[in-house]
Amino acid sequence: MAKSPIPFELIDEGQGCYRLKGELTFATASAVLKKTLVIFKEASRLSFNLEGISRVDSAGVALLLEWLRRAEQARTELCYANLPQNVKAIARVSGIEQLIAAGSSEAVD
Amino acid sequence: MDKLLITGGRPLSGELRISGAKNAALPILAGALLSETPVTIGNVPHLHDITTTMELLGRMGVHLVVDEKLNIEVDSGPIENFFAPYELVKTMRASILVLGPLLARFGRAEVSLPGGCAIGSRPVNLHLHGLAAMGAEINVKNGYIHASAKRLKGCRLVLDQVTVTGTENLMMAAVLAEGTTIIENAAREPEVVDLANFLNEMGGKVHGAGSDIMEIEGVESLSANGLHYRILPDRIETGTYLVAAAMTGGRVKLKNTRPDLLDAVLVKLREAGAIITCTDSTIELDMQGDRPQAVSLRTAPYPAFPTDMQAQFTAMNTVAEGVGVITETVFENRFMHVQEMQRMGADIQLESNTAIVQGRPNLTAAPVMATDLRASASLVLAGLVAEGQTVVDRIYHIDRGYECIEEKLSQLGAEIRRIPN
Repeated sequence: MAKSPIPFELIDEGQGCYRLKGELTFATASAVLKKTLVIFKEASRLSFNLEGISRVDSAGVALLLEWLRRAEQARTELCYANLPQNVKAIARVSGIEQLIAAGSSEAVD
Repeated sequence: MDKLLITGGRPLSGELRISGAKNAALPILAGALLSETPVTIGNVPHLHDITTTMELLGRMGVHLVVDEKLNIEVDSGPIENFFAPYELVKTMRASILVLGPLLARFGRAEVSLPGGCAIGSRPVNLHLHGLAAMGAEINVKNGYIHASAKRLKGCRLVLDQVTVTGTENLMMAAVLAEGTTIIENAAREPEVVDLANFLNEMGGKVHGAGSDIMEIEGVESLSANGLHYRILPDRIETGTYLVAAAMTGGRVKLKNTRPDLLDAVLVKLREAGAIITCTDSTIELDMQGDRPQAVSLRTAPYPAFPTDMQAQFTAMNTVAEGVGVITETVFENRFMHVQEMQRMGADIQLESNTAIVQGRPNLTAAPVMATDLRASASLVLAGLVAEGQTVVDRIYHIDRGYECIEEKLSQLGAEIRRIPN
């Protein structure tokens, strides 16, 4: 039996820092994007901690790129912390590791 | 461009997991275009050519999702165009493999001609003649193949020469053709068999894969119906790491592989003095600290000794005891690694399509330059046994066919690191 996706949560830790929990996948990416658009208008600096992300697929990696794009459009500085290991692997197989690295506070191998 | 820095002299030791075969994954990704429902493909190696293929399919409107285990789900339902542009095809000749499936399922395709190849002449005319014989209208104009057909028709095709991608393209075209297609002088490589198995699991009727005569009964449609297909292991990657262990006098165990796919290579490694033990999915090689014996070989289509392992065995012979004669019959310009090895002190004489290699106890490190995928692998192997630090330049070639080579060799105890550009 397929497991139900873990609901996405965006936890505001103050001063533009957010902790993300749940799944960033094909099933959830669109809804998560809609939920997060508003925060780009309000902050000049954002940090997304992805330690609580339990599952990511290429749609989730695309979402990470979309957030970077939205941040650039809003002239907001966005960085990612604690990128899951498979994000780096998917980024590599998709040929976009440099783009993800640009938004990460760590090196993407 | 990235380079690899290798300090030689360490025997390789340890265990390694072999990746899926790129040369199976590429046609199978193209073959996913034939399915009316999404299909998931697993054990896909993480290589630049895979990324290029995903980009090619994506640009056509195909939906691709890479899951957390790096399986690729391909859904060609939303496809919008049937165009393979020059800028992608010029970087990866295997892009031609979309021609057969696009024509078979959608009745049209516009695919750039691949252009030249460093290792020899690899024309696509056999693909085009075969498709034309099946009723396709083919025009080559402005560097592009324009192909169309209401529905392809099965026929008897006799290939003038054995061609792996030609067999694959025509197989994929025939699977949805009206009637039965016979392909004579078909390629017999395991990757061709893997593609046939994939098509059959989606409802295809491909018979005789692995022999030189294939019979394909055309069906109305293919549907994956939730299929999760696992690509077969890479026999050339397997062979390369085995040769690396043999050259360094080491002992390694390779997992997630298939010894039955490389009989001709294992025979030669045993001849070189390696003790080889196999199970269904593992190969263990032990040189017992000894230097390999020189071996002579002749490349030919499968199941004979593979041309893709020629450069690696040339490298092994440079440090082996005795003289080995390597004859290349498949590609006319596949000795470009020889001059680079000579820079490292190798004693190799070239006569037409034959390299006569006199083994020496050591090579000496030197800066060398890769020219193609397997030549670059052979230079890395040479670096593992050379005295000093070898720098291999232009390793984008090696990145096309070897997943994380420096990580895997480091896992086996090699001193190797990548110097980014």
